[in-house]
Formats: sequence, C-alpha cells, structure tokens
Amino acid sequence: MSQIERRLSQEMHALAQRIAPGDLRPLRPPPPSAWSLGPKYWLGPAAAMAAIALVTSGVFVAKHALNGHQAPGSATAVRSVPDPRVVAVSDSSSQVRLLSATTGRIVKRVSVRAEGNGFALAPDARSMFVVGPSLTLSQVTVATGRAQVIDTGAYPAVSPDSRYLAYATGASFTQVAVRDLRSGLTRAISLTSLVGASSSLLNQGGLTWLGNGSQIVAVSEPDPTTTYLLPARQATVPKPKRTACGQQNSPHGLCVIVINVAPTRLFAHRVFLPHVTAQQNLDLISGDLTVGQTFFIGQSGLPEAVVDKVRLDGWTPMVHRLVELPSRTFGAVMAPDGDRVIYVRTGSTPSLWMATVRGTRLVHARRLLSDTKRFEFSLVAW
Amino acid sequence: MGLTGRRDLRQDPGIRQVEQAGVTELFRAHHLELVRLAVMMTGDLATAEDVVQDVYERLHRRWPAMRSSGGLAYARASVLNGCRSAHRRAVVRRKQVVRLAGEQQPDSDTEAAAADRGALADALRALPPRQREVLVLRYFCDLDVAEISGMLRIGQSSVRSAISRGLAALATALGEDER
Repeated sequence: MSQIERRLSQEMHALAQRIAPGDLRPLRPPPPSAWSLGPKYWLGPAAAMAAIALVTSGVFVAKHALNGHQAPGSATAVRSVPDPRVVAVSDSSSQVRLLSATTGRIVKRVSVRAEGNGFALAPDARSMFVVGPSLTLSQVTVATGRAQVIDTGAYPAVSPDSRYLAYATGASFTQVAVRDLRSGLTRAISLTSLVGASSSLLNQGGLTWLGNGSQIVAVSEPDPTTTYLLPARQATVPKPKRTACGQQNSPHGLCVIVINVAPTRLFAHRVFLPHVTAQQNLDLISGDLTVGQTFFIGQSGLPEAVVDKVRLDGWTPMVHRLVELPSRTFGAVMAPDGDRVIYVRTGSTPSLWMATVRGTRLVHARRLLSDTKRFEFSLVAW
Repeated sequence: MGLTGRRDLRQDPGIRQVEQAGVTELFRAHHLELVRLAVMMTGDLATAEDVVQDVYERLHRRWPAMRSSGGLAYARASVLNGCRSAHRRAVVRRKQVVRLAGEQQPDSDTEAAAADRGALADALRALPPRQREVLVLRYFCDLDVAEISGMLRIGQSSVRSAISRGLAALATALGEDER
C-alpha cells in the first residue's frame, strides 16, 4: 500500500470516527406503502365502485319495478344466445315433427295430437306445449314424448328463459295465466274489461313473451263464434265499446294487450298499434327476444302478406314494415332473434319455407318440407 | 396449467412483514456505517442522513429486489446511488442560488468546517463521482476490486483504472508521492 493509500484510508476512518452513534438522527419508520396497507389500499376504489354499482342497479330496479317490468326469476333477461336449432311443425295428423333449423332435416317425430289454438316450443327445446281435444293444454317432453295435462288453455307461450308458461284460459278465455314450470305455481289475470265481455282470446288470438321476459302481449281478433261459447246471460250484454280489444273496431289501430308480469301480481293495459288494422288475418305474433319490448306481427289478406316490427318502448308504439312475404304465402313464425322467417306457401302442395330477412327483403329462401298428404301446416313453433 | 403452481410472494402479508422487518433490522445494525459511507461521498452529515433515510424507505417498499441481492451490499450500492442523486440535486440547487443571489462568499463557519475536514477530504470531494466511489469503497469499506466491480456493476479493470486515476489525482492535489 502506497503512502497516499495509507493516508487516504487513515483519514477517511478518522473522519468517520468523528460521527458517533449519538450524533445520528434515528431512522424514521417508513410511511405505509401500498403493500403494507394490504386490503385497505383497494378498499377505497372498491367501495366507490360498489357504491356506483349499487346506485345504478337501484335506479334500474326501481325504474323497472315502477313500470311493472320486473319479471319473476329473470327480470331483465334479453336473449343473447343463438336461435334454437329446432323448429316444431304440427299438422292435422297426430304427429309433431322437429326440424333442424339449419338443414330442414327431420330430427325427431313426437306422437302427440295438436288441434290448433296455439302451439309452443320451449326455447331450450326440451318441452313443447300443445292444445289437444277439449282445449286441454299439455306439456310434452320432447325426449320421451310423454304428455302431461296442465290446464284448460290455449295459445301457450314460453318465456325466454323457458321457466314460465303463459296461456289463455278461464271460462270464457278472457284470462291469461302465468305458470311457473318449476314449482307449478300459477297466477292469472282477467282481461275481460280489456277484451270486452262478448269477446275472448280464443280462436283468432295470439300470445307471446317479449324479450325482457317480464311482459306478454296478447292479441285477439273479432270472432263471430265467440258469443256462442258464452253463457246465455252474457250473450245479451250491450254492444261492446269501440275501445274493446275483442272486437278490434277501434279507429286507432289494432288493439293489443300488454301484460306486465310483476313479482307479486299481473296487470295489463291496452295498446293500439297505428296503421295496423284488424281487416287482415293475424298470422303470427312473436316476440323479438334480442331486445326488450319489441315483437313481430304478421298479417295477410291484403295483396301481400307482411311482417311488421312493433316497438313498445316509447311513449307511443312504433310500427314499421319488416318484410313483405312472397305472393300466396303467409307467415308462420319468426326466429326468436328476428333474422329469419318461416312461411307457408299455399297451393296444390303446401310447403314450408324458411328465408333470411335482409333489409326489407327475403334472401336465401329454401323449402323445409312439403305437405304431400295435404295435412296442411297448422302450427309452427320456433 | 401455467401459473397455477406459482404464487406471488408480494401478496403474502406474512412473508412481506418478515422481509420488511429484515430491512429494518439491517438498517438499524448498519445505520452508522451507511451514514459514514454517505458522509464520505457527500461530505455533509445532514445530507448523508437524508440519503440513508431515503434509501431505507425505498428498500422498505422494494424488499424483493433487496432479498434477491446481498442485503448490505445492496444497501451500500443504494446509498451510493442516493449520494449521486444528492450530488446532482446539489449542483442544480447551487446553480439556481448563484443565478438568483449572485456569487456567494464562504462564511467563516464554512471555512472552519473545511479546515476541520482536512485537505484530503476536500481533494476527495473534488474527484469525479466514479473515482470517489471507488476510492471510498476500496479504502473506507475495505472492499476488494471484485466486490467493488460487482457492487458498481462495472468491470474490474475499470475499477483498477478508477482507483489508479483517483489516487494520482489525490497525490497531485496534496503534493505527495503516489508511491
């Protein structure tokens, strides 16, 4: 070690020795870091986010509860899954055919007799609901073909979550019942004041759930046979009001009944669809399950059959033409997401067709099956 | 599979507390040594204490980096870095003060302190930072070239070169023979 090195070392150590331990300020404890705070570090933002979510959901729930849009079970369920892959077709034989919605091939036959006045296939395609003789509403398990009578009813419609079944019922078929398919609990609402005492939902009516899963739309058409079904004392009632939905003679347009399925009760109100008249045949009514308060209504009888889209989420209903069907056809059913339509082409050999709705036109039309036995397709469910 | 078997130790409060307690114990045990090291580099006790305190707080937050290295060596290197930063801040501050207040004459207390430190200390402070760091580590901390090389993350030849040049500069400043 050189002289300069020795001196450097000695002086540095001497300088260091002048600093005694007592001269030092003690080390201050470090401020709490993010890690040492642990869960508390995230507690603030998490609590803020939770509060925002709570307030938002509270406002949402309150708004829908006030409007009666709260559904039992799945209040705000809006369909986000693809269409069911199966379409059920019933004719006047004793068989229901299940067709692949993709290929049109028959994938299953179920021996059950459906006699009109409604026919429904659950969105999960596990069960279907048929109206048999004497207006007995039965639930049929697709896998086994086993049928179980539920009630006297017509126009069954299954909620988007496949949990609830709505159908027209009552002595004069002016009631709508909602049945919980899990518990069997059934609630009903009388629509007599809306339909009219001399009318019913039977024969020419229709029933469908909306995509929000908490509203049902019912429509009836004037039916001259209705009065014969009513008791004699009711058949002498005065002429129904022009605003009664059952006669469909309102100048404000087609009258539909919107039933709100609240957790504790059912309540209903009338809605008139402008520019839609009851002078045409009601072919289909089908909820658009991709949005909350929209449904399709198909009519024929004028030069061409049409399918209209109806929105109920505004102050007044909005109706616009979705598509015009080919001549000599009538609509049978819409796909749950509204992108395809199945219609019946009449003629010497009726046939069932499926087409995709693009803009206001139908494209990719193809025949699903032909009814060579002239049984005629009376019921189609998707 | 993937990361299912791994666990982020930082999220384990038990391990974290143990490691942070280790940092505290290390600094308590070597507080004086680290302050003295900082004094050699900065020439000022108050600045040295601040540097060590800052390093202690920083390492308290960054215990995994310290855990993976040698504890005391990592602390020394951190103190040297802190001294470097303090030196840069002091230079900037000095420039600003001079610009705002004009050239300042050293008062009697400063002159007395300089005399107390000695000529060698002043010559040491006049060296470039790298040479000063190397000399302090070599002749105050008694580290060999390899240890200095690892701590400063420079080559051993660079360490030897810095030592040689630093000693030559000191000898020139003090008017002594380098041998």
